[in-house]
Amino acid sequence: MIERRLFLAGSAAALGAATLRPARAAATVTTQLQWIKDVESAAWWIADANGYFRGEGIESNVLAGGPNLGSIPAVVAAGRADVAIAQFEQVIDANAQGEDFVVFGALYQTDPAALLSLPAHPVRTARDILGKRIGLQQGAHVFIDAIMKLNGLPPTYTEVVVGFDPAPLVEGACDAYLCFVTNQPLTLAARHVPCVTAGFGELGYHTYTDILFCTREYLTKNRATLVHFVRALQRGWTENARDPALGARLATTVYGASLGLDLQQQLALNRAQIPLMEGPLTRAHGRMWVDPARVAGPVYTTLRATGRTKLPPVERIVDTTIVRDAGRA
Amino acid sequence: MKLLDRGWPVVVLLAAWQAWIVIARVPPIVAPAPARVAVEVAANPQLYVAAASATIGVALAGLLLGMTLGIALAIAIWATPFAAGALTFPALLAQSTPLVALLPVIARLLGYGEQTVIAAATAITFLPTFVLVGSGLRALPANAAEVFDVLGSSRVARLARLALPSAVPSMLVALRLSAANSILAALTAEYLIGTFGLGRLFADAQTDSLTPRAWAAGLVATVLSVAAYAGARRLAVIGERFTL
Repeated sequence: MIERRLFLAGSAAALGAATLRPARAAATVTTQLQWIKDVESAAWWIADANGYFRGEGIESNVLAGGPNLGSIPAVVAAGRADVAIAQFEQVIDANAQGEDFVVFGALYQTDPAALLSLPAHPVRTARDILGKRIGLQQGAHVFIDAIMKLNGLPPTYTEVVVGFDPAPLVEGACDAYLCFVTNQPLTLAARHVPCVTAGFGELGYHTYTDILFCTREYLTKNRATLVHFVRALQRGWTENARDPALGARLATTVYGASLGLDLQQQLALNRAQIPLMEGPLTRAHGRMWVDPARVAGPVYTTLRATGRTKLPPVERIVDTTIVRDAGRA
Repeated sequence: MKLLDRGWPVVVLLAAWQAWIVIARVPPIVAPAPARVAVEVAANPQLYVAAASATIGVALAGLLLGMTLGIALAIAIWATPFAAGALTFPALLAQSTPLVALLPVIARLLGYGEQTVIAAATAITFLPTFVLVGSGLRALPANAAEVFDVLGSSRVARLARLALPSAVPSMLVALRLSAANSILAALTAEYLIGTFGLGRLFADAQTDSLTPRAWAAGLVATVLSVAAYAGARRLAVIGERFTL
């Protein structure tokens, strides 16, 4: 195996690939995704296909997630993955039960979660939720309850448990539908169905969706590996922003080829997610930056509204040094 | 003592579970120890009673509707060969399609609510009754059909006095098979689209990463399934006294 890598490294160098380090045994980093292997993980595919991982001495292994994966923190706690993508809330809950996870990166700077409604009965503010039928994926009612609480409103709405298809909204089975702005609104737009979206941030629910975390033990023992890993991912995201078609093509034809993904849908999704991943802080500190002040402020206020009272000091759960050091190439 | 004779596999299972947690140092978020699950149930009795009652309600409704539908369709097929062609294939198709795939279709027809949860439970429990009662209606006692022929009985009399009584043992077997399954069916339907019951409790526990609660919901459902099976077997024993 080592010979093969040396050969690959040598041939890549001969071809003029940039930033190759002296050949050394690659460190394998296994990522547990939250979702399926689609363009939402474009950086992983681009970093692999363009040799950014190899250049950083990383061998990337990716495990698919999806709606039927029980608990992502449990996968990491059981040692099946080194790093994983999850909701910030899941890491808080896991640590409250005795785990010691550290969040070291965030994919989205703006939360893609939103309420989707039709112009006839639009939901633009938390007050608009009152008395309406809200289509939610199983378990997601906790978010709407928190939104109502954060806005000082009673939780008087009817929950309709639906799946990941916005059909119930179009058919009139519900008045609003919990969506990702990168997904269902684009599907409806493609079918020329006009719709209204209200982002979770606009509704007062502040969190980090799709954070990267690992155990404190892994971070301490593999700090250099993680920095290389994050640097390769940052390059992947930068390239993805420059050429959104590449990640969509890699997802549909290589990494998620067996899923039967639609190239146009993946491209639209990618174009929609790129601006959500960027902001003044990522431009100042690097891609995938997690802002401790935002966690301590609006995010913790939100988490308290969900009934999570025992919140750790931010520096116990957020590590900004990996992304910072990755930017110091 | 009789309890120990019957219950020893459960004791072994619990001991093995506890041993696995301790020896493999399994983190509580991956799998909780049995004691922790017991504490979780003991600390929130009203939560589990409410959820279990809802699940039992759905399971009973599904079982009742499923068996009624199964018996009705079996009689329809007994009565006219035309029905056999029309019903057997859709019945098998409904059974071989996973509930997860079937639910959106049922929801679109019936709406997103309790009725769909019950319909899903019905869909799972109806096939054993349909198949077993169907064959029971034809498994007549030797020469009994000839007696009815000689007496020139009507179709209705044949059904009421010969075919249905001879299908009672099959109905009892169907009840035994479906009773335990009906809890699983209710749990699955609640997990997917319900706003109540053990399935919902399990889903909410997963959202909040409350592993002991998720396991407790599963454990309560298991106990209910075993109780449903035992209850149905008891009914069958009583019922057999009244059959030929």
